[in-house]
Amino acid sequence: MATLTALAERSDVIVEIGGLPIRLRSEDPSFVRLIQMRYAGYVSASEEATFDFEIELVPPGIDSGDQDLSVRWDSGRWLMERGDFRAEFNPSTARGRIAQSINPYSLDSVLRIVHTLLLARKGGFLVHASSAIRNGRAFLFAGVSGAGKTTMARLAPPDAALLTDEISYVTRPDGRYFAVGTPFFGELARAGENLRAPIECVYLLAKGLENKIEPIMGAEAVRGLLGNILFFAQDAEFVKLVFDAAFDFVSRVPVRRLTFVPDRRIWELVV
Amino acid sequence: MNGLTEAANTLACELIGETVRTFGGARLGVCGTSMVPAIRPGDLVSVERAGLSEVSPGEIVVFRRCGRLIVHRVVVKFGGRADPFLVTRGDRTRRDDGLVSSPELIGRVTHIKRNHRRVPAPSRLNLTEHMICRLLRFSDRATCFYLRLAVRWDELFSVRTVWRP
Repeated sequence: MATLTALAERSDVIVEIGGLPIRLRSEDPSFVRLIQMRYAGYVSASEEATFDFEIELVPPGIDSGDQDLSVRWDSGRWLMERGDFRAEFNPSTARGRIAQSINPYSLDSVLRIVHTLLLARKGGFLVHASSAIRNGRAFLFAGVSGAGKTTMARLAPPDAALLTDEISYVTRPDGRYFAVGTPFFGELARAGENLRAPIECVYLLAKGLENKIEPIMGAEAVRGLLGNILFFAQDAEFVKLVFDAAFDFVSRVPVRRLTFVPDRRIWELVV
Repeated sequence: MNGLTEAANTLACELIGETVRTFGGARLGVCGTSMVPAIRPGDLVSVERAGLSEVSPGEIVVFRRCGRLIVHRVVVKFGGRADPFLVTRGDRTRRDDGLVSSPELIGRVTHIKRNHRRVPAPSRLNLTEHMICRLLRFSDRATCFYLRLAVRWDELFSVRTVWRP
């Protein structure tokens, strides 16, 4: 209880996703508590952070998150804007600012964008996919909304560790691709486990009348993956980095099409 | 596509080929010097879908080979209508490329974009360009010098354009 109180009185919290500790500061203790709860499992006890963000809370405006997102490089910093937030991030000083109202969703979006930018330089990416670890290997199930990402997560057997049901975090620390748990969730409304494992395979999801796995090769596999990668920046250099990452990923990790009927037997087929 | 493995480069070539086949064209950045002075490193070439039967000697084409995309000029076209082949060559290279077959060909270069200017791809070189090619063919150092000079010339030219009353 004493620890909880100490945490609640702090004006900052360090959220570590994919091994990247990001300090989030706010003058509002209730918002810091909200961040701690939202990112439970990903809050670092360390005092060291690689990046610092100052969060300025503004009254909710009439704008909503439905407005077009803009992410652009301007005068040595990234500018990120949507109806519900404005943020900037300077990679050389490792500092940034976020102006948003009191809600965890805007911060979620900013963190996702920042991670896509940081990952791009390291050959990684975020992808619309649920993912889980079973027998020490990670499996990704990629697809658009309604393709079955959350369904696959719900059907996961008890010995599978769920990394996310919505946005998978792919890193490439030493030439091998790993899937890492994220707090970014979809319909399941549950953060993934903070674990990582080498990626065994990516399944592109399709619903059908029977369970079926087909290998996908070459440009079709790249297209399938690219269609699910999250990337927001309007910047030629970074777009090229993402394309290069997709080409490299597909040349190393098998991509298959998984047609499935939603019952538990599918997991015995895929793993 | 620098820095990628050969397998990843092959995938990139496949995707570009598929894009041109599906959508009819694409724009590609050039990084080599084999087509100097017609095409310089950093130029952006517009590629239009074209089959072997549609291209003629003198045109610049894009084809894939060994996990790379190559932008060279057609020297000769031969073979029957059913089974044509192309012989291509870089303007600055000393030897012809191996025969280009239909599956390797991606399309023809229609335009070249350089310094915000878009010009049609030249289907033949003028006398001066021929002489420059002959000179550059035998010296990479001369090619580097030529490229530096060309960049400087472009800078001066663009300044003069801005200040022209």
